[in-house]
Amino acid sequence: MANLNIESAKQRTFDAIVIGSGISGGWAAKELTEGGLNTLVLERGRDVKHGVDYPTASKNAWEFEHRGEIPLTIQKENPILIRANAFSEGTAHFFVKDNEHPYIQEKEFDWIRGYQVGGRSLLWARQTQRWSDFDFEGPDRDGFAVDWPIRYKDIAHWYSHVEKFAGIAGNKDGLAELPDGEFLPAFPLNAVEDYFAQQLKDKFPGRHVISGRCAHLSQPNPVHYEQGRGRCLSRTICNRGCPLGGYYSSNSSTLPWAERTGRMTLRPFSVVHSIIYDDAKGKATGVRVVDTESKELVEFYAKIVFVNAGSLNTNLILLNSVSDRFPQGLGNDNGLLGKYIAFHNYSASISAEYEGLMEYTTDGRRPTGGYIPRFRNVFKQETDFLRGYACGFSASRRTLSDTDQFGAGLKNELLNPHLGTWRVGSHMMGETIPKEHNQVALDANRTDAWGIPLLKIAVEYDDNDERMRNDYLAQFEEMFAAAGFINIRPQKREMAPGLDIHEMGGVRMGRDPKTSLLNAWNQIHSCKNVFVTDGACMTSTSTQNPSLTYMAITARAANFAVEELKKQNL
Amino acid sequence: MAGGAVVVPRFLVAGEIRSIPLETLKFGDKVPIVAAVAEIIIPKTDIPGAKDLGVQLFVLKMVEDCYEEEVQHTFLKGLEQLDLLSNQRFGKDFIKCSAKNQASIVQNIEEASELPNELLDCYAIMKRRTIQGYMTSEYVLTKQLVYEVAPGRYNGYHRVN
Repeated sequence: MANLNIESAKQRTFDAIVIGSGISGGWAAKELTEGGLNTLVLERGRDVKHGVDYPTASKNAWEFEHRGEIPLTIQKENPILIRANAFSEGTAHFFVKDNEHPYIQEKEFDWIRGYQVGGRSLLWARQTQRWSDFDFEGPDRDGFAVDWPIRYKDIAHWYSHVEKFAGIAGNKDGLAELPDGEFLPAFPLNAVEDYFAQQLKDKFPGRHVISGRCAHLSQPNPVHYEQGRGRCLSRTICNRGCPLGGYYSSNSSTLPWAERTGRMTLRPFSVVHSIIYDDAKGKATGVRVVDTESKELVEFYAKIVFVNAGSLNTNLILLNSVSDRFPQGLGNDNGLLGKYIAFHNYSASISAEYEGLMEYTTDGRRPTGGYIPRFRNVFKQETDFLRGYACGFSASRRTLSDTDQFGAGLKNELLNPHLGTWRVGSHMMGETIPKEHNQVALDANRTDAWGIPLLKIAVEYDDNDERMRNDYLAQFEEMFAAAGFINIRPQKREMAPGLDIHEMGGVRMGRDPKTSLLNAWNQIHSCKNVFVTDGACMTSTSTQNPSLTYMAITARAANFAVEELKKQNL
Repeated sequence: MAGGAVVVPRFLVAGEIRSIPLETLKFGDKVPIVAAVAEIIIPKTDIPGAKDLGVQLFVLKMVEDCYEEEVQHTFLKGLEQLDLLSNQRFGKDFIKCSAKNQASIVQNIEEASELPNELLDCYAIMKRRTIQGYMTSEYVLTKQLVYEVAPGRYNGYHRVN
């Protein structure tokens, strides 16, 4: 019996464990296995095999019973999830239903999750803009949070590393505030987007409209074909999963790559309960997992652990990893674990029409749109709010039919629609300031289906966010009017934090163990063989869609971990 | 409604033609009247109309699955009022009227001249869903306004003729 246990423990021992298979976990798996480490990748949900498990990917519009609409009973069962734009009849199977993993909203928070292999990398918006030092230096310059322990020079190489592999379409725009990267050909802007770009150049110096850089293979390189991926054909139904591998996901890219090394063990249906800390050894030795099929608690062991469970679940796991040494959660000597959660402010948008350039329209489709990098408070503080916002900006012409009739006349109108004027639209993506009271914690009494405490979430907007969105709307009303756009309609959207699906922080990086949880290499200050490289590590949020930065931070930390293991420092 | 009658709504599950027994529609007995209205809204011409494409089944499917119970009641009440109106004007139920008379009734409703709210709301739902079902049918998207599944291109300066 003793021998059997030893044998069993051996089988459950790896060089590295990665918790989570989403956008950052996939990168940890790839880099660690390429670095020669036998790696266990734990995923709490089911497996989703690239191409195979995309049941709706090739369905036509008429093959959806409700043409994409979510039936009322499902809407009522999912009052939170129904608010997510991407949740539809075609994507519903990739989202966590409200009753599947409850949480406690001390303040209203829409927690949108995807529990499956690949996580939310199947569902992301695929926008990939680099950070610059105007972002990394933000907290230090403006006096909030703590100073990032890294700067652009520390991560530039790793941005390149992940961009080349993931495949990013974009232009070299030469903007200091949005560094150029390793780009495949960009998807073009259209006549009115270019027109607006020129208007800004003439009338609002320093404000730029660029083609949003995105993780799509506009023109694949050999490394992409080697992954089994092909050119993006602009189907623009990405969130159902792309059988072509036209966009980057863990499923299409990093996970199969890691698997091919022969050193990855992928274990779905594995909810991590906690990380095992050995007081005698002074480090983590593995993780405790609830097998959701057998309901058994199983332990796995490794020299290093990467925590990539998705920002808030990463917080949950660390808070639940209590030991004699860490009674308040792993690495939580300063009591800051779970605090300084932040997100992105998407609570305003604006639309208008343009009656010029009517000799043009668009033909075909593209998986991205225009992007306006942050132009407020970049080079110096210049408004009554801190930081700023990036913006989406796109134009298109709709086809219209007069439906104020019926019969053969209506039919003729529907089948012979006419082109309307250009419609333009923009939305804001604002930086929010991390604050101590925006936090998550474990509930003392209630547990989930796996016996793990429920997460209590208390995150809210502040006055800075309100001033920022007022400024966004005012600036765009002015810019749209200056460009000759008409019927300008500014719109505030009262949405809870979380619906941006950019929740970050709680396990922030920093220079000082007294005020942060992670060091410059994403190691827990007081438990150096545990790395946190998903959104939980973010010290501040800046304005860019965060996934590219998670990927780069993960690749950097994973390569550091491999080197440190070789040097026997971990 | 004929027990055991089977329709083949290709628009629901194209590719594989699956038969859906009418009984599975909660309001299956409303298929004829909804079909008649849909056909007046988008009639057969030299190409198929709403009824040919089975759009009435889509309309009822949406009413059943995507509307509150009170809206469903309004919808059913509206259909009753449609027959009342039709009996007032032509002495018979809507589906028994000639296409010309049916069109005349629909014209009444379109002009919304002092008709019960339920009828107007019911008609609004039928019209909206008929247009949606027709325009997203396999026939229209493959034979009329051909939808390119994978265009593989984007031209932002496409000249309008």
